Order: sequence, then C-alpha cells, then structure tokens
Amino acid sequence: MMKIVGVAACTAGIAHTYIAREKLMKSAQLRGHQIHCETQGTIGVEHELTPEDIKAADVVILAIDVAITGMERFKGKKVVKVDTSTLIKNPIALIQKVEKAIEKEGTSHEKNV
Amino acid sequence: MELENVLDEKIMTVSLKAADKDDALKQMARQLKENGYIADVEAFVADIYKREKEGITGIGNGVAIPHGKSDSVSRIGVAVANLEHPIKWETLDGKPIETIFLFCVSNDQNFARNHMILLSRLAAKLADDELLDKIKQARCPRQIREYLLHG
Repeated sequence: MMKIVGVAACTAGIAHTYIAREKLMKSAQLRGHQIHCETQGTIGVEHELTPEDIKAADVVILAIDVAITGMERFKGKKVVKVDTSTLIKNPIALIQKVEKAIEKEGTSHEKNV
Repeated sequence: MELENVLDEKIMTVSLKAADKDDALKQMARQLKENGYIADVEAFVADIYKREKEGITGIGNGVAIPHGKSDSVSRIGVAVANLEHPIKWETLDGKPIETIFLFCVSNDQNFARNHMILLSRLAAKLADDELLDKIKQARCPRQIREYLLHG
C-alpha cells in the first residue's frame, strides 16, 4: 500500500482537472492505496492537501498541463508528473507504473523533484 | 444551488445528425443560442476551437468534452448530444465520438461562480464509464438529465 498525494490541473480548469481527479482517486483506491488529490481549476483550489498528507506520502502524482501553485510543498518528495490526458487515458497503468517505480526505489532515501 | 439547476433538458439531444465535428459544434451552439445561453454562435464556436487547439477533448470511449470560455456566454450550462452516427474527433483512444458534452462557460472568472462549481462536479461524473454508457443509450433528454443527476 502506498500513500499518494496528487494534484490535477488542466489548461482551461473546467473539465479535465475534475475528470483526472476522479480517475486518479478511483484507480489508486482500486489498487489498494491511500490517496488525497487536490484540484487547481478555474474555481480555485479544492481538496487542498494538508502538510500532514504531504509529509506522510510515499509519492506525489501531478496530473497537470499547466504550472501549479505550491510546488515547493513537494520539495524532497518523489514526484511523478504526467499530463491529464495520460492519466485520463489509462489511470490504472499510471498507478502500476508508479508502484513499480516506488518498489524499485525500495528503502533508498534518495529522492528527487 | 444544486446540480439540477444547471442541467437543462432543452439543450440535450438524443439523436443529433451531424456530418462532422464542425457541424455538431455549430448545431449545438445554435441550440444554446435559441435557449438564451449565448449571444453569438460564430463567436462561441471560435472560442471552442481556441480550446481545442490547446489539447485533446476526446476523452476516450466515444465521449468528447469541448469547452470554450467565451465572452459570448450569458448563461452557464452544459449541452449534451448523442450523435446518430459517430464522427471523427481528436481522441485519446482513436475511437470516433458518439456523445458530446459541450461546456458553455463565461470568460469572466467570477461570473456565476456557483454554477462553475456545479459544472466541476458534473465534469467529475464524466470519469465514470458506466454512467457514460447509460447516457449513450438514453432515449430522451429527460433520461440524460436523470442519469447525470442520479448516476
């Protein structure tokens, strides 16, 4: 089980952002992981990640097509960045890829942003 | 305000005959104009294409979610059309489009914020493939609306 935090943000901030969040949440839960996912859209930030969520997370998944606010929160964390399309197209495949990457890293404390 | 307030049967269609993407967008835009959502069909469609250029709106499984922020919009909503024949579109899985959700959104970020929040809730529902399959089978606009409200 991984602890995941995510952020979804698309160009217009109207539709893809919210579809991406749903797909990420569902797929992560389906694969048995814990997840919190923030959205940054036209209506602003929702489901904002708490410092505790971020601190506890094994990995940060950014499904973003645009620059987001608050990148500094993820300093020192393992970050996987994709565009919203990649996530929407095959969310399970993305989660599995992240699982493998984290597994490979094992107990290594080397992390990068 | 609740989701039912932004779901309007008058801008939902279960058998749209469209030759291609452009035809579909224009027909849907005309329906939006007839129902008081937009002031100008051409201007609205031009803004839709601006967004289309920025990335793929065919989200796979036969569904497209075009959405333009337009000065032409006076009322926020989402037009839904099931197409009589699938049409070509830029899509994530290469499949043609059977159903279009056209988001009708103002360029003014602060305009009708409550409506925008509801539209984001609606967008989230479109992540559910089972719901999308039901909508594709809808026999009347009322059914589309019911499915979007209650899954």
